[in-house]
Amino acid sequence: MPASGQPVELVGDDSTAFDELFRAEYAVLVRVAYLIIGSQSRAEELSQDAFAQLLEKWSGVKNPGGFVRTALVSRCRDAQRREITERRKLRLLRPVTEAEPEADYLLDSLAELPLNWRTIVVFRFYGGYSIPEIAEITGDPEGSVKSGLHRALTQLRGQLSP
Amino acid sequence: MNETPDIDESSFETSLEQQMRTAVATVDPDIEQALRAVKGGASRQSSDRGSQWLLAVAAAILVFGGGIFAASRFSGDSDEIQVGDSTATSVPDSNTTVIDEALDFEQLEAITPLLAREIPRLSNPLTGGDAVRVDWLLLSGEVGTEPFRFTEIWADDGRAFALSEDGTSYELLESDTLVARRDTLGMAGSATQWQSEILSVGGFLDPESASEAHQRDRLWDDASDLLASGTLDSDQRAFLFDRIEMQLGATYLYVPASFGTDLIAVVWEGHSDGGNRAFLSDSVNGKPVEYSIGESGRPSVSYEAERVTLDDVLEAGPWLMVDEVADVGVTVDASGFSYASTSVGVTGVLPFGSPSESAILSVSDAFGQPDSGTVSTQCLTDSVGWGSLSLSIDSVSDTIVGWTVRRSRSEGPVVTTADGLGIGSTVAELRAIYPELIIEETTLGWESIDGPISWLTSGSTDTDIVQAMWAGETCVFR
Repeated sequence: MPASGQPVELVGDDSTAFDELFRAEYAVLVRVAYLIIGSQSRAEELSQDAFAQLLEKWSGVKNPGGFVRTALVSRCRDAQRREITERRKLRLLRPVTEAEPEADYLLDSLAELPLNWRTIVVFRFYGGYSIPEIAEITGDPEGSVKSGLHRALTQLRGQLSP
Repeated sequence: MNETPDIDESSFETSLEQQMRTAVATVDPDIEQALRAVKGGASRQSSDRGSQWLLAVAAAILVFGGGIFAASRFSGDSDEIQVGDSTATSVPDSNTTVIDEALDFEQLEAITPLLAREIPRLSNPLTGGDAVRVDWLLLSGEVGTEPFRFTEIWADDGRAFALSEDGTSYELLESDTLVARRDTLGMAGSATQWQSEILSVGGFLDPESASEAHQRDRLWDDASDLLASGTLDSDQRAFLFDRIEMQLGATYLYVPASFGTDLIAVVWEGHSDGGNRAFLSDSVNGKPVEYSIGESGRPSVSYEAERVTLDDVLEAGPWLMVDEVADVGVTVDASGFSYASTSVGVTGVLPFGSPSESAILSVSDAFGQPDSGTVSTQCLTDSVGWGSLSLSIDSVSDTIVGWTVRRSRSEGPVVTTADGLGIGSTVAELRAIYPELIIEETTLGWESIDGPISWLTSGSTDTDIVQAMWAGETCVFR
């Protein structure tokens, strides 16, 4: 969000480039965030926030696609941290869940992974990114990404394999 | 070790990819609408959306006579419940349940069945919802049973606040559950607008004081009092420090690694006396300590500080940022320990008897490579350590057989028991958990070694503190 709360205006080629990137990447990011967070509405909010941050920083960003993916990962982490904090701290009368039509074993299994593992496995298998690319997105060392991927797959295999 | 054939692994990974693609097949966001929202500045934290929400709220107040109201999604016919002198009415096909008179806590509970009819996700005012649900504050149990009425609800720079009748302001937090948090310092609004906004809120700040510097000093003092009250948990403290940092321009938030999460220092530059000010929310003697570093560079301590001096603060480093501390942790008990690092998504439980090699690898995944290690020529245990935590390894069985925690200058995980006891905890806190604790003077100092966990303290009085703790088999020279 722009610090001033006011929208940032891009003009000319910058505006065109931003729009093109948005149209190319937004839906994918929403789906990635959906797999990580488990909520489509939340995924859209976080994805829009990530693009809004890119919009604000546009002139100084060399790799807009990488920037917005990293920004999304940060937002997913913040969202999960806040959710954990609030659920732990506050006694809610009713749990809030997305109105899913039926149990989704994949999403349930993903939700049981620590956020970092979940992020890695989603970028790997839905996003198709390599280990070095995921390391760059998440800001983690490649070794941690490999380790996280291995552990995530081990856990998922136990839950999803027939 | 994974002995699954490669072909099975490949099949599973292919299947996983396919399952993910199936799961997102119905996720079809409106790209153009989203693009307009982002470029138009109508993000979920924009003030525009907040203003829309504010107007809707104001309209609801004007139309229905004010008082507390709640929002939830309904479909179908209108419904109403009479509670005392109040009528709670859900407005059909809207996000609003209106209550025309203030309700107290018990009365709000009576209308819960009405509120419970909603689609699970609550209306969020900061994403364009039509109204705000403030009753969650009561339903969460935070406010208690005192009746109150919100007299003002406003949005500022994407944040939503409500003012209760007694002058206390609440920040309504954006979340799927929409909860409100008491804004006890009256820090509503953004830094640039806070002075005028807070003057209208009342509460801690003196509306007759026009000086911004004075306002900030008062805010600092109130923050100090709140921290010293000991009523905040770590999440609330982190929230408060966020606000201090934002409102006062404090630039450093630290938690000394060796003292655990209860000791937090905030260094605020630019105090009105021309110097810096640091605040320890919990000192080693359980009392708050505040000191200033004036332009001369010499510290002056303004609170009681018999046991804590600036040297203690400096010596207590290295300092970790609060977020880092929140991310990692070790919980120890008499039979082993568990650990978690949310930043790398690693958790584990290691009881005594665990093979040391895999244990060390696992913990290293969470906290990085060990930064200390000893091979003892006089004990049967070697050790390997991360910051204040050392694991004892039986050199014959090659298993983890003990742990030791002591103050350390190096970075590492925060280590406490499940009850929150750790380095820096007071003897009073120890005795609250272990009433039968006996602390005796030994060659090491003051020790309690009768219980499942051994403690080394600075003395035997309630205000003395834990300096080291250990369990299992360790190497201690007496």
